[in-house]
Amino acid sequence: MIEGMIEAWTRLVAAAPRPAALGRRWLGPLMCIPALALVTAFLVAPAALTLHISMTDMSLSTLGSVQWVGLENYRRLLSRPELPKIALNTLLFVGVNLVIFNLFLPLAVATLTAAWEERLGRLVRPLWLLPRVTPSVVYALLWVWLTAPAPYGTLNQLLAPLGVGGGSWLLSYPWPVVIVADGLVGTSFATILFSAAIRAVPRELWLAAAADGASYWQTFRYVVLPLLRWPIMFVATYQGLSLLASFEFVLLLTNGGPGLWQTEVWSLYAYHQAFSYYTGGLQMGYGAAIASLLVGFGAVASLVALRLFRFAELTAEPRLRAV
Amino acid sequence: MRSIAIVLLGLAVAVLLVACRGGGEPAPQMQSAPGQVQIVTITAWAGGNPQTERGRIGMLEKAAERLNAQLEREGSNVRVRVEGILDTSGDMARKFVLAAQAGQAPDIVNSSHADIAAWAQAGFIVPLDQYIAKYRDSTDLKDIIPNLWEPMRFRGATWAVPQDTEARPLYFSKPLLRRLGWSESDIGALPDRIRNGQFTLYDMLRVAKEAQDRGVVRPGYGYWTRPVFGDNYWGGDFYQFYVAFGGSLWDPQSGRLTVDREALRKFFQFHHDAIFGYGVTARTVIGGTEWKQWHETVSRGDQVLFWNGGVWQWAEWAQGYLGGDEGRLWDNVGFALIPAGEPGRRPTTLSHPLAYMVTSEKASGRRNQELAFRLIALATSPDLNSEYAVQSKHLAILRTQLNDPTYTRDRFLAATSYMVEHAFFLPNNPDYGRFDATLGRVLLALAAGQLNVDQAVERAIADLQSAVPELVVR
Amino acid sequence: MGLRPSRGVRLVASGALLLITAPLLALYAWLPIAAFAERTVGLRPEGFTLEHWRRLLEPLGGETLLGALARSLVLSSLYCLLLLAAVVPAAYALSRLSLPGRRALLVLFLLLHAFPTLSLLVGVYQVLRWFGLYDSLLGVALIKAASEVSLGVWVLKGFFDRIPWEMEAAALVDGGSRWLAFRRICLPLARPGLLAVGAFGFLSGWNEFLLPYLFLPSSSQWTLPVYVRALIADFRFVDYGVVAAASLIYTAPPLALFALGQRYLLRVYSLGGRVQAQ
Repeated sequence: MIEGMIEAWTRLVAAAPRPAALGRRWLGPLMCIPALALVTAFLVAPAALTLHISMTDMSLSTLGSVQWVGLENYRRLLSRPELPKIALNTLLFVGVNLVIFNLFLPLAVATLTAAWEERLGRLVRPLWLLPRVTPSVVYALLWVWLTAPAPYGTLNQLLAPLGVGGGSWLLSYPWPVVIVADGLVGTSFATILFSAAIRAVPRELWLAAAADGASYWQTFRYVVLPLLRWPIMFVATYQGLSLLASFEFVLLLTNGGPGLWQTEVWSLYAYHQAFSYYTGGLQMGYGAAIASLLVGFGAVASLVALRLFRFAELTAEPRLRAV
Repeated sequence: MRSIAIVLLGLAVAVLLVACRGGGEPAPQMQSAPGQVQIVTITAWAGGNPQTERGRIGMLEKAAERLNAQLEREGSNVRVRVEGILDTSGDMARKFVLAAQAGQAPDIVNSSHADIAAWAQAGFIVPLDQYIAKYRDSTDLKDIIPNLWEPMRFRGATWAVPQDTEARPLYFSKPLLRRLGWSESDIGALPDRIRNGQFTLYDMLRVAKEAQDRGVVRPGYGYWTRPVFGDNYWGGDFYQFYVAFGGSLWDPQSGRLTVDREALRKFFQFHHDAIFGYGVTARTVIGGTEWKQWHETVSRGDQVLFWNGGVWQWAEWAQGYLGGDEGRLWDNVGFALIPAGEPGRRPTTLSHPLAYMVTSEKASGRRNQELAFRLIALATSPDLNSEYAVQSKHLAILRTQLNDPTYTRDRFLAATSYMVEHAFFLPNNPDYGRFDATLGRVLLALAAGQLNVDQAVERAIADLQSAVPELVVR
Repeated sequence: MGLRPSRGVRLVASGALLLITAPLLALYAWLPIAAFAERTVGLRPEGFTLEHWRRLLEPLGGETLLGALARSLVLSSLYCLLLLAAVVPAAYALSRLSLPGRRALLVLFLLLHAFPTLSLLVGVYQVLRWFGLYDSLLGVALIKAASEVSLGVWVLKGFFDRIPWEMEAAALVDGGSRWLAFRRICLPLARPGLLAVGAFGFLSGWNEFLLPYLFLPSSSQWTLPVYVRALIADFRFVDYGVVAAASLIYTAPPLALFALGQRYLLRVYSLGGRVQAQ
């Protein structure tokens, strides 16, 4: 019946006299121009330029006379002995972070606070959102202090009675610290998403399952989880891409160290090669190649994800058409 | 109504921005004041420690007053004003290159002489020979210690004026040596023994090991190198040990970079022995220690037995970490050249002069080159430089400074000035940065235990040859 | 059986949650403590002092805290305005207008997220140079706006999608144009969304570190994060008190914004209600 009313309205509106304002066919594209201009000039152009530069030998020692070298930078990259380690680091960083801090933990926290204990949620949620709103420089400093060697570090202070620790946790266990620090920033995002989705599950489904004699866990596993499929896949894709490209916290916490390539992830490697003066020689061409591979991988992964998640459902046409 | 408010706000912000876009526009060449005087703003960048090395900019500011007096005497209606920035981030070189490419470099830049090669090649700085010839006799430039001009030259031209120089000694802890059983005269004689080649690098390792074995120092605190953390590696200090074994980094005649296989092997062997063989260098020093931690530990003078650093650090420790108490440093810390690698070789030290350079019009968008040079020439005077040298514990660049009471009165500078005679300089070659980074990676891998000495030598030579096409391997 | 698991499970889970939340408390508690203490040993303050705050008034590298603060404000505001100006019309058009190539545009905006600005810094530098925007706040604001357009469009589209068609149609029947309907009806109705994206944008601009660090080199152009970072590296401040004080000032606005506008921020993260069990 609603549909019928809308049809009626539409026909009515279509018949109404239109003032000579902006041509309706032009309005849409016109409204998109600012965004498109912005994106073309400051996102697409840099992408194209990065790709172009990746095929030159631009670096500190060639600034006066940059030359085209084709795929030489890529060849060089693929023959670097540290490449497997860096690829592994990236896999470790993105994988562990994604699974634990962007999927498992948020799901657990969302379930706990949205479905079980509302009041606990209201208490805890602001705290969990803190890492995301804290400036990265300050957040990194907080972690450095937390993990500092005795007698400064808070962690050491708290663990002293147990007789554990004493050194710098960041230097001794760089990976766990980096992953936890970076992970906590992303957790809040997924938690909120999952909380909203869980709360949106119609009550009737719960009651129906209960009436059928299902336990809580069975209901959760066979009824709720499948309904969360879209948010889960969205988080996996979106956060996965973000993690692939982000290196800010690694830069601020360990700068790729301590030691050789220990916490160097792909995106940080690209940054170091292109922008480090003394240890990178400002090799912009080489750095651009490293970055281009990363972006290419990300783009392909996005396309695959879009296919998988039946994107078509998201781009359904709006109901208004004729006007 | 609200949309109007938003538009107005937007306009206000835009106006604010145009006003704020200070770094984005080249400073106006001239502002004509009512009357005749035209003021030219000369911008200058330098990097350094704000507590001790402010003088790098300060000398230019004081020179501006002198230049203005000169200009007035000449009857010119031009006056200069210096706008200097002391960059404390450690990234000044990168900032300079990015700015120069964008045409926004300052008129004067103060940086390592090793940057000359790349910057000259890219056209960011101008050769100074014609200005030097013109102003040499009327300024103190004629008194610059002659061999300091060497590191300022590249491809037959002179590109910079020395601003300071230094030496990099081996420091040692007097209280710890005493605890080891050394007498006062033993301790006092150590620098001379090193200078005569009687105390070598391996003697040092042996003493450090003895100290560790007897519990005088904690394990890993026997000998400390320069700290490395993540990406802050800089090879100059390490290569002193390569030179101590007879190696050389380049051939000044041809300008090509070189690597000596035998010396390289011994260089790697030394560091391997220090970390793993004798175990006197903690693994975290090369790879996990930040500057602040390192300074805090060594400046106490009773934690680490031997460490290598720079003469200017004496000032940093005294003023930054010991609250101005230089006396404590004299009580606890001794200094000497870097010992010879093995009997029969000479002790050595690295001298790494910083220099003032004048940027090209392409890099700065301005045409103040001659004025900038005159400013530099006037900043290079015995009184200004001595004041700076004493404050920051850098060494003299002018012969006349050696007669300046300000300079000669300083006990530390007097005690270290002999080191310059044994010093070597880093290459002036545009590929040196890549050479340094490549060799550094191998050294770090060795220090992390990922490569043994033989592997390190082969890897280093292979990587260096691919990174530096014109490398000479001897 | 039922809508919640057994008491025991809930208790254990709650306990676990509180346990993992505790470190966050320890993490943040240090900041105010260190800003007012002469020295801190872990979380224990030693000596009360206002010295750190006094030293913050001294210039660093020629620049003061207030200057950096002002510039952070300008950058955030500018970025926020640019973002809204680009995203609002585009989101409306994609949501409610029939647009040739609509599907393609939507896909484009989604795919753009796969081109993170952080990976394109080499190209970004060249573009800034080309436009003469190197070392300018406007340049950084534009780059940042371009990188967050795709998320902004999707979030706002979600808000616009929920506006009932009838309301817009009413305006059209009265003889107005599409544009008028947009301004008079949709925009006010989408105000929560606008506030959400605006707040999120301001916050994002305030926290931005890497772009100013690389592309605003002159200390006369420093924003707060670069200033704080310089403090950390500064040799004069061997202790962290001054840094903690500066960090408090820096973190205060985001925390305030968060406390006041939590609802709006939460809406952004739920993508304007886009997320539904499907």
